Order: sequence, then structure tokens, then C-alpha cells
Amino acid sequence: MSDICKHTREISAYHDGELPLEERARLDAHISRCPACALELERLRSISRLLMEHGSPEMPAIALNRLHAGLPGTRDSAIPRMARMLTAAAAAVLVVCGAWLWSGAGANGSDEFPSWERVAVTLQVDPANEPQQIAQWISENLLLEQDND
Amino acid sequence: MGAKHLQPTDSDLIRRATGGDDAAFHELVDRHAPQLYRLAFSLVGNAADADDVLQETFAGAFRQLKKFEGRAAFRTWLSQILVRQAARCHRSRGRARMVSLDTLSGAARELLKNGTVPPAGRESDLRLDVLTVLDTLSPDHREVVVLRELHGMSYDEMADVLRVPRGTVESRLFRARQELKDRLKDYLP
Repeated sequence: MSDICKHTREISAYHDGELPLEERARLDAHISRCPACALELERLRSISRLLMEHGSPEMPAIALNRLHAGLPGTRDSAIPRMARMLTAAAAAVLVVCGAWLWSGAGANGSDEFPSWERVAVTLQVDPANEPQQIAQWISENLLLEQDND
Repeated sequence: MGAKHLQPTDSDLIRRATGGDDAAFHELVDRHAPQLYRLAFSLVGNAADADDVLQETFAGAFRQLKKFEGRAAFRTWLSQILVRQAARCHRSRGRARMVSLDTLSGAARELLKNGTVPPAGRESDLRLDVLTVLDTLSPDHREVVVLRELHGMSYDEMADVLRVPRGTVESRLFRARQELKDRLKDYLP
């Protein structure tokens, strides 16, 4: 029995379901009469089964965890988005306040420390919540200044 | 029976991720990474390189997410990035690497020596033999076989991912299968 038939090349696309309907129907009829093409189709199906069953391993859970750890952001971020925004705002306010203090000017020429600084040197700081606490102090001071305006 | 919880679509998650919701991007990773890992492993042949390729793929996707236009499926887009990363991995590490014969199964050594693989006696050897045969294909042939057989892509999707004409996909796949038939002939009818 010859393994070669002029239609053998089409069996690959037939196996993948990539032939137009008319060509598929034509080849269906041919395969039923051609042992070489029927054998070719059976071999391609066996190859597909082998590759599906043994062609690659499942992703280990540890690999998935490593992947997440190496990507920007975290799956369940411990720092709320608002705290991050306030931290950025707090950093900007600190820079402005620092420049203001350095210049020696103040709204009323007073030597009085801003409330956030008084609080900062008297309170215990929890390192885990530091960004949020700083953000809170800045916010409170901003609110106080707003009330005093 | 309660209402079925609807999973967000890829489009929903992409919209949220581009808006700054990192958790949405990580949900996309959970959804697509397992299948892409299998694709990466099949393309590069080992877990360490597969990890690296996958990391680069998702890091690149994160950076370019705003450029994703939605013309193709998100998975297809990710596969495009992954295939390019795998090709880069091949170029940087060299395909003509020295492989210690001691690390190969007897069947793998037989393949290297004679070009055929005798039937494996155990399931674990069979997996190693199939992986070895995949590994000996040229990168072009390995890509089309892996994308078709392990990823279930259509010819048009593969043409998109590989950026070649559909006819090229079809002919590469035909030639790759002739190679596989020859190297796995003892497993086939």
C-alpha cells in the first residue's frame, strides 16, 4: 500500500477543520476510498493526541505566584489607593512647607511650629502605617488652615 | 437556584486595568497565564526559560496595555508577545547548546543518534520523548505545531500571531507534521 497520494497534503488542513465546506465534503468522499489518506488522517490524530497529553506540563502554582510577584502592583494591595494619593500630596506639601520655613517667611511672621510638626515630634509613629499617618496629619493641618481662613 | 455570577470579560478587565486598577490586570494574569505557560514551555523547552518568557510577556503587556485595540482576542495578542519573547530567548541563549547526554532518556539519546524514538515503556518516559521531539524541531516548525496542537489556534490566528501569510502557516504545519510522523513513527499506526 502506498503512503503517497496527491491529496495527502490536504489531509493536514482537513484534520484541522480549515477546509471550506465543499472541499471538506470532497475529501470526505476521497478518504473513504483511499487507504493512504485514511492512514495519514489516523496518524495526524495520533500525533495530536500525543502532543495534547504529553506536549507540555501544567503551570505549577509556585510559578504563578512568582509571576504575580514580579509584575507591577499587587493582587491585593495593602496600601489603599487613597493613602498612596495622599502620600504623594503630603510629599508635595512637605516640600512647599520646607521652602517656606527656609525662606523665613510665614503667614503671620510667627515662630510657632505648624501643628503637623508638633504632632510629629510628640507622637509614636507606627512604621507600618507611617505613610497613612503622615497623610492624615497633613490633611488635618490643611483642614485647620482652611477653617482659620 | 440562584443567579449565575457573571465573570468580567477580558474587555472589562482591560478597561479597569488601563484605568489604574492593578488587581484587574492580575486577574487577567490568573486567567491566561496557565495556558500561556504551556505555550512558553513548549517553545523554549524548559521551566526556567518558560518562567522568564512569561514574565517578559506579561510585563510587556502591562506596559503596552493601552495600545491594545481589541481587534484580535486578548489571548491572541498575548501570544504574539510571547512568541516574540520566546524567539528572543532562543537567540540570546543559542539553540546549539551543549546538552549532557546523561540528562537525556535512552529514547532521547536514540533520537539524537538515529533520528527515531522507540516506544517508551513508562508514562514519564513518553512525556520526555514527546518533549524531546518537539525540542528538536526548528523554531518555525515548533511554533506552528505548538500554537495549533497545544493552543488550539486557527490558521488565521496563527498567521496573526506569527505575522506570516496563512499559506505559510499551512505549509509549515504540513512539513512539521511530516517531521513528527517520522520521529514518532513507533508510536503511530
